[in-house]
Amino acid sequence: MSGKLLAAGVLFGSAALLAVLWSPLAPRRMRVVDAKARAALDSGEVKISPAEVLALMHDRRTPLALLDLREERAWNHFHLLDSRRLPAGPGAAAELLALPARMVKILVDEDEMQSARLYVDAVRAGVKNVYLLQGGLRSWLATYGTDAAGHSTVGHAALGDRHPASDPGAQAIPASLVRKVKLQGAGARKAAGCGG
Amino acid sequence: MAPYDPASWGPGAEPLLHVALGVGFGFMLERAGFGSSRKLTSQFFLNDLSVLKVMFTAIITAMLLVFWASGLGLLDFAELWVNPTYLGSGILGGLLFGVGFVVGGYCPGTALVAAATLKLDGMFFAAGLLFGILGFGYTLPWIDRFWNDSGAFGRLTLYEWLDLSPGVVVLLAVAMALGMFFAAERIEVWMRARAAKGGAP
Repeated sequence: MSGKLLAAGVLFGSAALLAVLWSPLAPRRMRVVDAKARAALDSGEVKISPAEVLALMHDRRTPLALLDLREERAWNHFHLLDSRRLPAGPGAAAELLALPARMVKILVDEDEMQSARLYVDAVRAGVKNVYLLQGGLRSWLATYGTDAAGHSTVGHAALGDRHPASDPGAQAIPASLVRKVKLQGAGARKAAGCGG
Repeated sequence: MAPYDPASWGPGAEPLLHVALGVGFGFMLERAGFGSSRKLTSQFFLNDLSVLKVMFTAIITAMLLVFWASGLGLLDFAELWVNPTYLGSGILGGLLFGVGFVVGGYCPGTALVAAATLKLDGMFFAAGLLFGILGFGYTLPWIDRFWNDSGAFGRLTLYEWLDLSPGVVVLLAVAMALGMFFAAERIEVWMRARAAKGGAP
């Protein structure tokens, strides 16, 4: 057998084997993706501080979606300005996937429990640029929803986004801010080499 | 899990890697004879289809390695940079590129290989290339809308477009490439026979 035929056979055989094994290998790929998503959660690299979320809310250059996973009653009571409800359920990851890839998606809930679960589902579904509010709304309200004495300013009235803590304003953004969000797929168009 | 970030390997690691890959790629092009404009343009006259065969062999070999690694969970394909699709500017750019290739005898990479071996035509082509890049940079604001918005589909892969499994698309691509290699060899034999009879251009 000539070298060319042997090489062609190896290439074709390898491709045929890959076509056959692609679906059976899916659980293995998913395990790896899950592990990567959980590692990102454990390291905190995808958990965004309230200050950075506030900075993003006032950054007109960065497309942003604030997605509140809580029940409607909690949402009516208080939510971040320009956020929208995304009921945490089986279809939530698909809804995230339908959003533009080059958009920062921040998952918001009471703490981080629901957000963390949806984060893993979203990464598994291939959603890009997804993060969660570190510490959830409890952390947000502890930062922006307290008075000088440290008491909560959010009462029992259902004010939605009309409460001042829904958007404390650009002046509340700290001067020095460690940013974790890196918009993937952003930036200027990259040139490609011709390959030869 | 790949892809890895060479910048995290230490200062200077990324540029060093780029230099090593560039030198290796250039060396292989030169060894394949692609520093010769005669050999390169022969493909357009169907006399020597080495460029097609070498390039497509590289493409399907890399494709198999990438998707085997991805299939086995060793590489996160979603993290890999894929050139966004811009159909309009891509088609126009491809046509200009093809004309430049036939007329000049080189593509950008092979022009640099030829220049590295001190070929005068390669040096002139490389100089023209740099002049063209400069001209493009200065005129970009005039064509920015066409350049960025004509048929922009973002990151679009064949398997997404065809709605098929990546494994099946890789198999189809390899089968297509092997079919092209077979046809190319037949065409070369036919052209040589034609030339022997004195009918070649």
